[in-house]
Amino acid sequence: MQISISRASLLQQIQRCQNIVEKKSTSPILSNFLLQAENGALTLMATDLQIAVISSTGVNVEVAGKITVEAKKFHDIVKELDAEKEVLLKYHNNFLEIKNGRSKFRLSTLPADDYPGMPKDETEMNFRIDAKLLAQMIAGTAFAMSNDETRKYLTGSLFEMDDSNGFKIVTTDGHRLALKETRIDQSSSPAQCIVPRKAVTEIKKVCEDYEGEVTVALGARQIRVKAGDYTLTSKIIDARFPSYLDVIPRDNPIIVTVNCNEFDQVLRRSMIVANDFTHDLKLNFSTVNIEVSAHNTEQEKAEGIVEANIENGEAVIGFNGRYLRDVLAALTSESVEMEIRDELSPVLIRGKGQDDAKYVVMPMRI
Amino acid sequence: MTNNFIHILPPQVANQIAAGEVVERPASVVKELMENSVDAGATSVHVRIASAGKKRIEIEDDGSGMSAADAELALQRHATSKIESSEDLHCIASHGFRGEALPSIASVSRFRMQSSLHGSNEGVEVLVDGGGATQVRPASPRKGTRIEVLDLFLNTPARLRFMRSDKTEEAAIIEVFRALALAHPSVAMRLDFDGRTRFDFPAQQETARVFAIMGDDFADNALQQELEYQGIGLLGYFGLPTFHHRTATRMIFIVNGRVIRDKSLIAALRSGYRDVMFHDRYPVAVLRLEIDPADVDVNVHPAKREVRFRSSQNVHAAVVSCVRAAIARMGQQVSSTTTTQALDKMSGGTVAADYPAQRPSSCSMPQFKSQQTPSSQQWSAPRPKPSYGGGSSSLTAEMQRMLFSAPQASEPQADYGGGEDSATVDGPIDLGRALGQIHSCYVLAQTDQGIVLVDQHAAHERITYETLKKQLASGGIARQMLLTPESLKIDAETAAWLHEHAGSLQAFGIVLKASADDEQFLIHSMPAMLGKESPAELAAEVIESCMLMGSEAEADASGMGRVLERWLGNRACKGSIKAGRVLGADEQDRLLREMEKTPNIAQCNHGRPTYVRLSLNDLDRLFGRKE
Repeated sequence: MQISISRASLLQQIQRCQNIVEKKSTSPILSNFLLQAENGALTLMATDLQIAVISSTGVNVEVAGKITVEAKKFHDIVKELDAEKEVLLKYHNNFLEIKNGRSKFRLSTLPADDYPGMPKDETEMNFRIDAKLLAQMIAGTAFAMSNDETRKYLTGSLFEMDDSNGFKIVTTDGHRLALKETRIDQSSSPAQCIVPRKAVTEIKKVCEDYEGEVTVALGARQIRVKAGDYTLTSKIIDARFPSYLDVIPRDNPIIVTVNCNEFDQVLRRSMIVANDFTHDLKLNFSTVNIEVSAHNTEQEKAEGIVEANIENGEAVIGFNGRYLRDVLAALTSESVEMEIRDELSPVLIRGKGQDDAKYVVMPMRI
Repeated sequence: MTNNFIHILPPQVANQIAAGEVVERPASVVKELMENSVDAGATSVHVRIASAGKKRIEIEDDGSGMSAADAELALQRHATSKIESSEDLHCIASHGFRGEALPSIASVSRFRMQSSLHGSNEGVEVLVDGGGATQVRPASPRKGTRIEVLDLFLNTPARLRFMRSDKTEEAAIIEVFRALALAHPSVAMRLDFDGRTRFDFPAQQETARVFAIMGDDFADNALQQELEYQGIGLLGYFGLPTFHHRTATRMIFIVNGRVIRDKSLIAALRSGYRDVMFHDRYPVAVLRLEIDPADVDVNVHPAKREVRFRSSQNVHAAVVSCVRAAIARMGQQVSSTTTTQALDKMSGGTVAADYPAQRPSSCSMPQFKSQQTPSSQQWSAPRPKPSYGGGSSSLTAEMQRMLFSAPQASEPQADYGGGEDSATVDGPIDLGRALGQIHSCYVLAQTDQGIVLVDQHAAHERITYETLKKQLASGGIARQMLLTPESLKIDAETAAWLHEHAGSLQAFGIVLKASADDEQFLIHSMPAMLGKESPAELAAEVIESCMLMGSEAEADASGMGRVLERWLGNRACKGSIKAGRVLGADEQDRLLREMEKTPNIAQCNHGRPTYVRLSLNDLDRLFGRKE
């Protein structure tokens, strides 16, 4: 293998792939990138056996070939190279030689044949979606994923295409739920899968940097996201997601409308003295305002009031303050609407005038 | 040819079958016969063994003895003096009652018995060879009974083949002997192997006997605790949490004078220690339980190693309360064996190799005194204090003990000085002034009597944990409601318990309701402070603990629940000072003062010791200034 490539282009390729490489892998070859040069393109691949990413770019291929090289060192070297000069990569005597301006490196390699192959495409349907929109949908839901490995199905995000071209991303950790939805203007068959956290994070990162539409393909065992020359394939979490539609409350009588920023400010202040473990806040909703109070076991206290419009009743409810603030941070609207039944039932939170997102938070019994 | 295939077995065969259950090995013979002696009211029992009991087992006692007629009858199956009717079975206070032991033993050995009824002027000798005819002849009168069992298993070659090496069989006999000696301190007991005396216990007070059997290390690191719990009397000798053992064999339970092994009692004892001991370590303890015989069923196991309690929950709660009462008193003391280890290590001892840095060492186990010679019968005189805080400054140590030791609720211990020993694990600790930090990992401090080395991470971990516990105990437990109820996989027994008691779990923040089809339980809320943990795992553990001991016992004084506390403790670990953190002089002193105020400070949440003490005396010995 022998190629020359611009340093900027090489670095971009590497940065798209390097997050996938596990820092501590039991199998040394998984710490490596696969580099493949043929037909005027350099293809970089990384995998942790759950997720595989491939990124390719046009280069000047002098000698075709493929090798693997340690990802971290390769990345560290390319970062340090002279940005103005071309990079020459050459495979010679089991080593990869890197030349750039006056610098020269030699890295050891492992045979490309030992590298796990790109997973076969097993997806069953696909649709196109604006990259920025997908990134936003992920950003607006990712916080509610759980870390509890004993309930695997909560540790990822549900990607769901319903039968009327509505695409949803749903997350829940058992205490709260986040849902973002959009309409896809192409006909597509229904499908759903739970995408693991690492893949979700990676998809978001790539979509944030990408202009245009990406293709999302879903299958029974796989999700595949294609953004130009970049393809991510991930195994999905093989489990059933909780039937989230049942827990989104309907017709909660009490409607509270409050300014997002003001509400968040009061919550933030009160949480300073709230219990470090439970972050419990007491919210008293009474006609024209919300009284927020917190106390901890050292008898310290905080109280704050925010103006609000409260219709159809009053209520006093305990919440984990952090859950409320996570929702407020995810909303894009100026004010927020909370729909409440009582101190034990789920509360629905939406941005006023913002239809693409629904959040449900369970109260806390203090 | 006959068509009758089924026939009644001749008595000899029946006895041999019974022997299969009762007489497994020489040790079982020793056990049965010693128990008979104790039941006969003996004040002294002498056991002589030849060739690990394969050749000869001889047991001589000074008990009530038997008349000639009784002696003959005793060899009939189901002949016993100990019970009369089936009602008696429900409140058995003696060891034996099945009437199986003697005929069983006699059916598989050459059996010789000499006895005479107390006060009678004629004796009797009974001979049986391998379950054959019973010969009875008059003999000279004697005090008590003497039984010889020769050539055990002579007619059951299968058994004989299954016998283990002499060492193993002897060890089993020692185990049996020790258990009985522990249960009956007032009976003098002596054990000889091939003419050499292995044990010789005079009639003793309970404390003296317990320590004589469990060893000096145990005596130095155990605390006595007495408790009355709903009609159950408990007297326990509990080893310090840092004085642990790697197997469950050092937990001894005596129920109404009978040493038993009961899994649930072990579980209860361990759960009492759970908060202060690493999970793969076992406590060292001797616990005597006195329960109304009507509430215990001993007729469960032919060798009576197991019992059944009418209210096992009550018994568990009693055990746990007793352990906790003891731990509450000993919480701050570290086992003196850690000092011994430190000294051994410093003087280049052999222990060094098996003292891994991060794991609790296996060296802290007590040594059973297996080679006790008659000359070491020093129990009648007060034993010299161990070198714990003694030496040149022993006066100060004594003063401190007098000033601070809590009054001992126990029977007189004059013959041993057990109270004095217990005091070493009681009362407040003094960790002295910090001299400096060693490798950013340990704090070295000087006390009036020597030096103390503190593991800063382990100590701070415990402080954080105890602070947390205190904080949380002062408020109720907030419940985080779950969006989607989590289903709980449980077995039928648990389900039955939950149907009655699910409500009691609400105190721990866990609301459980039966599902609509009544087939499973759903978790509707979690304790908010553990909201991120797995609901099913946490709930299962809380339920298990509540089932074992009842929710009141689980709740404990703090109302928090031991299980919840422990889960929190695991999290507290992450927020503690790490090894490698440089501490200023102020910080070091503050750590020591905090430690002195903290309960259970002797061990971190994982049961490792937090500090090691070296007295001046220890140091003097280390440098050869003193022997």
